[in-house]
Amino acid sequence: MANPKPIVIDGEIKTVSADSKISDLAPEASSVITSDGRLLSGKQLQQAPLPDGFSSVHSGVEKGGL
Amino acid sequence: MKTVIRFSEKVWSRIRDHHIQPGKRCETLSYVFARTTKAYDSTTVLVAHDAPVLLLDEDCFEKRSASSVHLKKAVLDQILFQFAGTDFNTLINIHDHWFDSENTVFSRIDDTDDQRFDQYLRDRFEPMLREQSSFSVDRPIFNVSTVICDGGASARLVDTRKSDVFQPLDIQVIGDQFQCFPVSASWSAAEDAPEWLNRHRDFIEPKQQHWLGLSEVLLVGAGGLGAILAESLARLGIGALTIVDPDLLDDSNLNRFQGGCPSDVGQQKVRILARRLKAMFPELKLSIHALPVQDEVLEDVFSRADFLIGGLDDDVTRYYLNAASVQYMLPYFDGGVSVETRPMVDFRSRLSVVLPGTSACLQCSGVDVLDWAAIDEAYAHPATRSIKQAAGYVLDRPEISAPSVYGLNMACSAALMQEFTNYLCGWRPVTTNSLTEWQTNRHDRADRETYPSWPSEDCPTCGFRSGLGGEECLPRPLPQSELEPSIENLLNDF
Repeated sequence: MANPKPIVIDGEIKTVSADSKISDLAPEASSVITSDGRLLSGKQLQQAPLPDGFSSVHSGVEKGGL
Repeated sequence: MKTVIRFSEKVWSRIRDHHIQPGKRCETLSYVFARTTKAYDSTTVLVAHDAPVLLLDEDCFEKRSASSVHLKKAVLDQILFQFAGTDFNTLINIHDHWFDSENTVFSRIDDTDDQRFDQYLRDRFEPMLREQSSFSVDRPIFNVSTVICDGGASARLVDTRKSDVFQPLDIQVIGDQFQCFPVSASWSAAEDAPEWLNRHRDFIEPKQQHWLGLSEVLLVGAGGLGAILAESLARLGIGALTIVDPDLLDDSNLNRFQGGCPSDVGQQKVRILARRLKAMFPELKLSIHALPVQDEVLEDVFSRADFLIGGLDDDVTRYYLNAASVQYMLPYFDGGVSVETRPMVDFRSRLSVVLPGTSACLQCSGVDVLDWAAIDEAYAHPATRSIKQAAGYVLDRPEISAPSVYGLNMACSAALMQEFTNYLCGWRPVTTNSLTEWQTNRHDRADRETYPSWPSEDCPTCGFRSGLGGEECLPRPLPQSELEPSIENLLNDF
């Protein structure tokens, strides 16, 4: 079994289990982007509110082939 | 202006598998974050094997039908918010025309949508990146639109600030085999390959010969190996060749420099080669640089090349090309030869292939290719170097007259060219490392099937440089010649 690993968050040393992920340590992190290509649901994407000052799009994207 | 988008096969197949599924009868849309490098005569979009890929589920869409797909505004906002917080400079949208088979093009609806979205990027998103440092990183954004079908794809850069809003991109996929969807994808043109290439027709398909004619190879090293490789590439039908080598032809090179004459001695090797190649292949687009490849002015040559080939005799430059290969996602074919004289005469040749994002690089392959002591010395800080010298470590390697012979260079070049052509044509799994020793009759060939070593996340090259392009400086050795501090001065400083 892998040993616990020490990490430093904001200057504070913590020991976490070897299989910890960023989302376990910083659940407030808003990024859901990964490179593993899993399917993202709209609900999951919209978990984090948009910050003040974010310039929203006027409309969604519409593609059409025919 | 050359414009290319280069996908790692890992990402490309993930996208294709998502968009082109058996029985799927509606369009869908996904996004990828990437990096774009602009050089003086090229724009290259790099989608590395670890690039973020956003495959979107059903509830992300307002509606989807056989001929259209409409993404929810709130979802698009979130994607843009996520993108704003990264340091990627390129947002790629990908949708499919599942109903097309061999090739597909953008529709008028796609044109309208791409322009409307780009206007938002220019008018609101980019200014926001400048103003909102709390959740965004300021940088210019490249907007890329891609459409795929079962057997083809089209891609373009979109920029509504320019008169030519849509700039088509050649698509390359770097994997176990090279794939290409060029802008000029008219395969009928391929059948018009020049008559002097007609002996290739039975084993190189017309479209592959066509790609070769569109491709540019960056050849580093114009010595005993490089001179043979340059001519071999031209005879294969490559469209453009850039050759880099700072050396002058010496009397002692004449035993192996293909085509070299006594009257050429003292001239730049690249000039001798260029003169000869131009006479033999008048249509070959040829560029030569009589500079070390590490020279900063040559960084652009990596951006516009399609393949990287090394015919070198030093591992410091190999280490540099390995990094450039991964950083610019250039398939890299590296040959090496040595004539051993002790304990008995032996002729050895070696070939290594790096397929960025697919195979391990020279640093993480597990095969001992590079002389790390020489690399450490070259990259040592002048102060460290000085201290080591004073402590008795030998750092300055004297010039040696390494034994060498033309026939061995020919054998190594032939093996390299065979693998290069194999990579384009897919006859058998590409080799990653091969070694031939004449004395012991040894021939080892590891390929992607027998020894499929993957890029390591922990590798300083594959784990850090993948697809960074011009956003990161290549690892150049520190200039040792500039005021190398003496040990006395260093001690005085203390």
